[in-house]
Amino acid sequence: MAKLDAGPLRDENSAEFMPTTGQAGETVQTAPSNPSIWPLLITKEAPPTPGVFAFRVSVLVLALATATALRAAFGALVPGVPFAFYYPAILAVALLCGWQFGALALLFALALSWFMFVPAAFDFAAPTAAQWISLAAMAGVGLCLVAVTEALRTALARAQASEARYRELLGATSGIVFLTSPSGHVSTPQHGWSEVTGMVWPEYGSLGWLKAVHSDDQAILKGERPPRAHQADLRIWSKDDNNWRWFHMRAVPLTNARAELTGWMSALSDVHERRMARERQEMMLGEQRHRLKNLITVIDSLATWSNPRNDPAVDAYLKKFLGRLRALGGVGDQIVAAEWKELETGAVVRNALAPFLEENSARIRISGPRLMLSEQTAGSLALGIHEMATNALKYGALASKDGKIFVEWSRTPRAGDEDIAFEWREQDGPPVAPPDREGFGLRLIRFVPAREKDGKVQIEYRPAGFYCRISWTAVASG
Amino acid sequence: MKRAAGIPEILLVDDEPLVGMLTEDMLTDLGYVRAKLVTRLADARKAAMFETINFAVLDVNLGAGEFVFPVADILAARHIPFLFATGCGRRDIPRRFRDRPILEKPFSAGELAAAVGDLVRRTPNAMAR
Repeated sequence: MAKLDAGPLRDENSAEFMPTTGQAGETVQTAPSNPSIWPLLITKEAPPTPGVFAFRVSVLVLALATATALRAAFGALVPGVPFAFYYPAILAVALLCGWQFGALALLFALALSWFMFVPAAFDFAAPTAAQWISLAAMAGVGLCLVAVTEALRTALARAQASEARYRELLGATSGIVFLTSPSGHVSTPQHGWSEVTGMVWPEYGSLGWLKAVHSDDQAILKGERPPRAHQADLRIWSKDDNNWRWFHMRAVPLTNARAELTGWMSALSDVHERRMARERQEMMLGEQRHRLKNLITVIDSLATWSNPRNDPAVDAYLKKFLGRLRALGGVGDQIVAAEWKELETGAVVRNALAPFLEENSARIRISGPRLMLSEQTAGSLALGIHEMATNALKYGALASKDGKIFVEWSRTPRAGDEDIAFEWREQDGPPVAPPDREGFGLRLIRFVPAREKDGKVQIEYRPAGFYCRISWTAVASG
Repeated sequence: MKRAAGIPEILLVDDEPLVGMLTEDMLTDLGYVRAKLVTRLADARKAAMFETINFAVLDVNLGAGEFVFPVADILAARHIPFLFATGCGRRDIPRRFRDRPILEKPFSAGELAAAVGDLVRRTPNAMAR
């Protein structure tokens, strides 16, 4: 099956590419839609169409006839250059018809000069030495003219092809390509603008195009922009939607040789669907978080109401359970309040320690740089902190009068990543000893960096007090 | 650490540590005391490749767009039996794993015991406890 499919496909391709390969030797490929007259004159396709050939022969004949007539009428105008009238003729022919016709024109010019203007006139009589030199000089100068003209034509053809390719490329981009002055003025029609906005040139000339940009998004475009590439999302009026659509703009400054800003080139691509999808997704995510937060509140109340009164065992259990639930729920509250899906460590720590800070605010020192945490790590950290604080209250620094707790975190850049270290250090509390069996709280602490790269937890029962270090590697962020 | 002979080693993958710890405790109560809980896909792959494992309990969705299936492929290649524990249902599991046992979350200790028992019975490779 695969073989059968591949056969015709390959044939199709080669058939499609055949004309192109046939012309591979030609340097000039003209765009058919190009309005310029140059392609007609300088196209090097071989052989030229009868029309082009006739045109070139006419140019050749006309130029030589004009030059001959002028030479006959005015004589050798420039002393010492007896055949000066032929030079413009050769130049014109070479320029318009290519080097072959230019060379032909030179030959004819030489023959005509010899026949008509070298004495004796109308006779190919053997010239004198001075006449020989005149003719030879004419041949040399003529050859130079043809050669220089050909070089010029080739350069022109290259520029022409390059511009044609640029236009094709522009036509192939689906979005808008927009060229403005440094102040945002538009002076020429812009690719794609009419198709999207329905504005017709010159309706959007000067600053008229701003009418099709949402007023809330115009601030980025107005006024002085520092001359460096930048990007932004903005809303542009769509005639098809009869509404605003989101476009992503990438603007590049155009500068002259003195590095002065001469304008802005902006590419605008339609990102409306993508952006709408993302907004819907974020809305749904927000909805989910709200529900989760409400659910935690409901669980909290159910647990509280289901408590048979005056049972110390159940009271203790409930207190432990609600403490943990609220530590986790606090992170949920913060997530709902936060615009992004990340949380700041300081806020997470203070929130988790809130029940303990009420009475011990002077004994708990919290310090560290701004550090964003993922929702999951923030939740685990809040739970871990809650466990450590509960332990400190029962057996550690908060169980004695002078005990202190230092909560510190740090960021250390390393090869594009960052080493994150979070430390909990207790001091001046009662002596601590490792427990016989690791309880649920300690296990929770061990899983704080579970979702992070290279997550490590180090727990020590130092003479000064309980010590815990939680570390992981984070991709550096601003 | 020296491995005690005859005690099955269990790989437990769950991106939610709390849930994973709960499963770990259930397995301990069932007598499978050597469960290793792993929460990240990268660590789980490493463990699946290099550790001695008798069977594995795999959470399907590991968050952040990651799924446990690469781990399952490694285990399958090593002929290590495994079961999926998932809250997402059967339709998210690729066809190549359609004959693998699936435990719907949340599950009770009894359901886990039955599923693990089946797994051990079906594959004589997995050492009995």
